[in-house]
Amino acid sequence: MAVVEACGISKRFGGIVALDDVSIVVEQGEAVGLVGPNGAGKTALFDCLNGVRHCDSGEVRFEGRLINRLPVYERARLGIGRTFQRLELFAGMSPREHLMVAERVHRADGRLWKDLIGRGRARATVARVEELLVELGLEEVADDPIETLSQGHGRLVELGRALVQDPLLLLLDEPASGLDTRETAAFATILLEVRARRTTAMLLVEHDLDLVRRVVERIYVLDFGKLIASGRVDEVLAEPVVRRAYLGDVT
Amino acid sequence: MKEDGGRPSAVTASSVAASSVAAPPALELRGVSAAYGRFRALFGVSLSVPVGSVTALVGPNGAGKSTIARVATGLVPLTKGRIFLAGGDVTGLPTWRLVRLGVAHAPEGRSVFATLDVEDNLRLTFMRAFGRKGIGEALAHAFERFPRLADRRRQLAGTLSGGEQRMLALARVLTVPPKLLVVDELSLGLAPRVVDDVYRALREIRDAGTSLLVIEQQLPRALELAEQLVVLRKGQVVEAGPVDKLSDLARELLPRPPENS
Amino acid sequence: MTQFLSYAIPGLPYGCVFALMAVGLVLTYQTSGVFNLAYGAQAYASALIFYVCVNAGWPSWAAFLVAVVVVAPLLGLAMDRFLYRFIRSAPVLVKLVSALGMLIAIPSALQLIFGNQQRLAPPSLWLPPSSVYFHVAGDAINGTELSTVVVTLAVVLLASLMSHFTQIGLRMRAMAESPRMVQLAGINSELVGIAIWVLSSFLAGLAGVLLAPLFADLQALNFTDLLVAAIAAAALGSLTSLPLAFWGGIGLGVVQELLGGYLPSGSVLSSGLRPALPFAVLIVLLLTLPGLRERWFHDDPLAGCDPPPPPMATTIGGHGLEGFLRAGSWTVLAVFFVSCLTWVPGNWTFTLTQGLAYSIVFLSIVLLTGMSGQISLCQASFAGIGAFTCAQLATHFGVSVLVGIVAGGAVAALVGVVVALPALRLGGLALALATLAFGLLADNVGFQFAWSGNGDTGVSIPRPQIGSLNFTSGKAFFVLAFVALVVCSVVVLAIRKGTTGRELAAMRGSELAAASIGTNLVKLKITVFAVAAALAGVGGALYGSLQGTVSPDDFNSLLSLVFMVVVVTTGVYTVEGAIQAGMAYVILYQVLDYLPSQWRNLFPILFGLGAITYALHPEGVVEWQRRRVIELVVDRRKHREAVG
Ligand SMILES: Nc1ncnc2c1ncn2[C@@H]1O[C@H](COP(=O)(O)OP(=O)(O)OP(=O)(O)O)[C@@H](O)[C@H]1O
Ligand SMILES: [Mg+2]
Repeated sequence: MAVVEACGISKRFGGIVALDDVSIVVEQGEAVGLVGPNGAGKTALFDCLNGVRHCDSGEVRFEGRLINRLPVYERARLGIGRTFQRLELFAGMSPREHLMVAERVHRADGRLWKDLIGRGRARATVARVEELLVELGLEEVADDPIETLSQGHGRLVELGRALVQDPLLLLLDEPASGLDTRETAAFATILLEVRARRTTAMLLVEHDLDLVRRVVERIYVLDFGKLIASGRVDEVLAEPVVRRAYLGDVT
Repeated sequence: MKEDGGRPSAVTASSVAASSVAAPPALELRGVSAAYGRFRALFGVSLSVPVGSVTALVGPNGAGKSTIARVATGLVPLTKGRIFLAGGDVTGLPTWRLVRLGVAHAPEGRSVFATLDVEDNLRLTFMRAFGRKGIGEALAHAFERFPRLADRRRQLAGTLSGGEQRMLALARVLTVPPKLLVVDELSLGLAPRVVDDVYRALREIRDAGTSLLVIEQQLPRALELAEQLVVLRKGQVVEAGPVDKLSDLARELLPRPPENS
Repeated sequence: MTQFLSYAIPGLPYGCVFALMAVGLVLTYQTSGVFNLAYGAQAYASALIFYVCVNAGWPSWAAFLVAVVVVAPLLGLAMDRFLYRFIRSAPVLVKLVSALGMLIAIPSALQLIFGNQQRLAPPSLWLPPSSVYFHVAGDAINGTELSTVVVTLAVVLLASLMSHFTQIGLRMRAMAESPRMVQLAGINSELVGIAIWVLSSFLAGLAGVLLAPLFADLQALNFTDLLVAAIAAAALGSLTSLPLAFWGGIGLGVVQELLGGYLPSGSVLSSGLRPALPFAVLIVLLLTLPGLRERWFHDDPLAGCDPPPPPMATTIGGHGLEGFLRAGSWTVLAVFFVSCLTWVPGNWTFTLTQGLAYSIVFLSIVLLTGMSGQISLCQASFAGIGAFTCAQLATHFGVSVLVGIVAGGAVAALVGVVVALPALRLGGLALALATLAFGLLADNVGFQFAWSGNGDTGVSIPRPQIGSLNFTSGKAFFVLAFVALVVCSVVVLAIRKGTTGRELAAMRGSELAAASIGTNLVKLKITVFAVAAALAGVGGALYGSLQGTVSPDDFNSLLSLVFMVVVVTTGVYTVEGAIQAGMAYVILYQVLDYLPSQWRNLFPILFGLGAITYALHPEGVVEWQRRRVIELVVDRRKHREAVG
């Protein structure tokens, strides 16, 4: 069954049409790419999927359920995880704390009364969190304040924060920008492992096409808010419209 | 409101004297250390950017590349060492003085004024360089280079998409060819086609005499353009020299593209 | 129609007064990012100097030159050099608190210099107030009114033109976001920064001198009250549009006069509604205007050039230092407790008990601001709600005072939920302004009824007494307050350590990301507001019971601002911070009591200085000093290891 199905999504900002009748489907455990020129509406589509913005028209279905009007946090609890193009980290917290808070929210034991009687008290370590920290290669910086980390590490922390919640759908908005070639390769390995588990579907926005080719099975291409192509990666990237709009004319 | 007639022609008398011997590098750092509070970022870095050429600064995340860019433009104070611009000592000068001496810096990420619209963002930079008369032409030039921005000229810069903001930041520095251009995370977040355009623009201004210090994660692209390479690691220079004469050690340290399997 | 006009026309000069202030506020906010709550105080400064000069026999042009053209810009220059230049790209809270510090310090400093005798009939600047110039729809327009309208129009026009059509205007607007980026455009940002504050201060001074004759006497409070109307007008322009702020001011002035005209005079409606109008308008605007939220948050793209905030002192020590510190604070606590019960004289026990009650109120600020990043400027009002609830229950319903204290907390929590509703949509500055308006509304209306605060008379609260347990003596009440403080501290600590605390920290870091991991921000904010209000309510009720009688003046909204400044300067991130702030507050007060009376003004001035240390060290004075000591110890230890 499709994890997420968006039908005819449109979104305008004043006079600008950011999304124009866009429909996409992501199946369970599938890795799908979303590419397009700058300002094509990729981030806007993510915003509509996870509820940061509400689309003007169209339907978003998650596992068959209509979620158009649900707020961000409810969609997150249903299983939509996300990373942000401009890093959104918790200032003053360490990478470990980032993962811990996500893990606790996921287990939903954040009742105030539990805190008051001392039941909600955080354990110092959680196996799943430690595991992920190692997997992401963050164990060395796990206790540094986030402000002192590089952007690449910030991206990894965002990924970990989303992964620790075992989302059904993971929205990745340019997760490898700011990573160098070697870090990107390691990043790809992690994404491939996630894909191999087949429990988390991914929608990947990325301008680094090597990464896209390695990780995803098929892609969608957006331009000026419209879906202009979709299908197998190599075929789509070879299409003239895509080359013109996105890759530049390599004659 | 034009201020002291555009860019000055020479830095100081001493730099003029020096240039008669051999052209001094456009930018030179000598033994520069820098820190953010108690957190030390650079340890005695020395490097130079020869006039009219492109130097690429590479190294893993957190190596201090951005710090070098910031130190070179006075945004972060140094704790030790000296900085020379075309042979003149500019250590400790505030950023705006350096900019008037012909340095331009495009910082990493979203470096735009979010609450000003696109045109005002450009105006702010261009007005000083071109005055009231030249500004129309400069704007036209910028919009020609990045047509995407032309459609958005009245939009608040904060609501632009990530890549559009990046274009705006680059439009500011590419339209007024400076003497020395420092670009951080050059192609970050830009679509492949735009990256091509930007590299073409960089070549143009290099040929017009601008010296460049470029920080770029996409190494193959950087190597196409750069003549010198400086490899940085943990706040220290491990290797510096012409691109084609790099030692094996440096190659080892350089991030490699993944073997496509 | 003529009746309408005859009510509306007199509103115009008042509207212009609001508009003049509003335009100054917007201009300052737009260019410096500081929502300058001290604007009224600055206006007062010039008005006062003008008054003093004219009364010394100077011609009014000379007095004007000194007060507005020389002193006001100098004041702006001084504020920029000593305070605002350090916080140009600081977060909303830091900027707001700095302005609060100035709001409290400036009038006191002036009184220290010029004395605080009553100053009747402030002189007018330009056209004599007695002569009538012409009539509009039957209204006589006198000199003051005419000059206000003319100057306002001129200022608004010039300011709008400057802001939007000149280079300096563009540069000033850019400054609010990032001085470093301005420098990258080759512009000397320090000069622009100075220009901003000099101009803003000049406009404030001009407004002050113009407005003074509208009041019967010259008082700082008058100017501060005006500010709310000005804020409401500014909010109409989303705090960024000069023309809208202007029309907002005019509209507010006219509507206020119309209400006065049409409502039956002497009714509760007219006496309650008219003064409440600006607050009500402000709250409604904050709640409904969509444009307000998005613009208020923008951070410096070059913030990465600043050093990261220093780590908490306790985390850098390692090697037993932490345990040593903890043992130290436990010892201090024990010594304090025992001393108060044994040798400390009665009046000091009383003072320290007050400190305990204040500490509980301050805990609410730690929870709300330090832990959750929400700015509330009405915590004193919540304390008042707690106290008055307790008083009314005890005197009219015979409820036991201890139960009353708890009930006070509960009622405050309920009100807190209502106030939290705006917090759901707003954040940062908007929330601060909404709570400020709520506090002023409570002052002027809510607490004036016999069933609440009973106006100036106040209400009485006995000391609690249950069966054989009797808390009427000073020492017994001290024990009660101490226990209450311990309980409240434990609650706050438990929240901090638990999941809620982590979610709060996450929310403070990034609301967007917190929501995206499944945090229900709405619930979280309501919860934290309610708990904070309850803490303040309990503290207030305890304070009331200690005092015996309390009146609305004990909980006025100026006090909320003072509380905020005191807590953030001492340390807003820790429970200890709240307690230290509470104690420092009452002890300082008591010490100043021994000084000659004019030196009392030193107290508020100290807060102003506190705001400056806060600007430099947002972690708070105590934490900052402690870190310095620990760093010294650690460095020396490292040095010794290196040598040996
Ligand atoms: N609040 C807004 N007001 C006006 N226009 C907006 C707003 N937000 C986004 N836009 C516009 O909508 C378009 C789509 O933006 P979006 O961020 O989705 O692009 P994107 O595909 O993610 O691009 P990039 O690759 O650069 O990140 C852009 O042209 C942008 O300028
Ligand atoms: Mg995007």
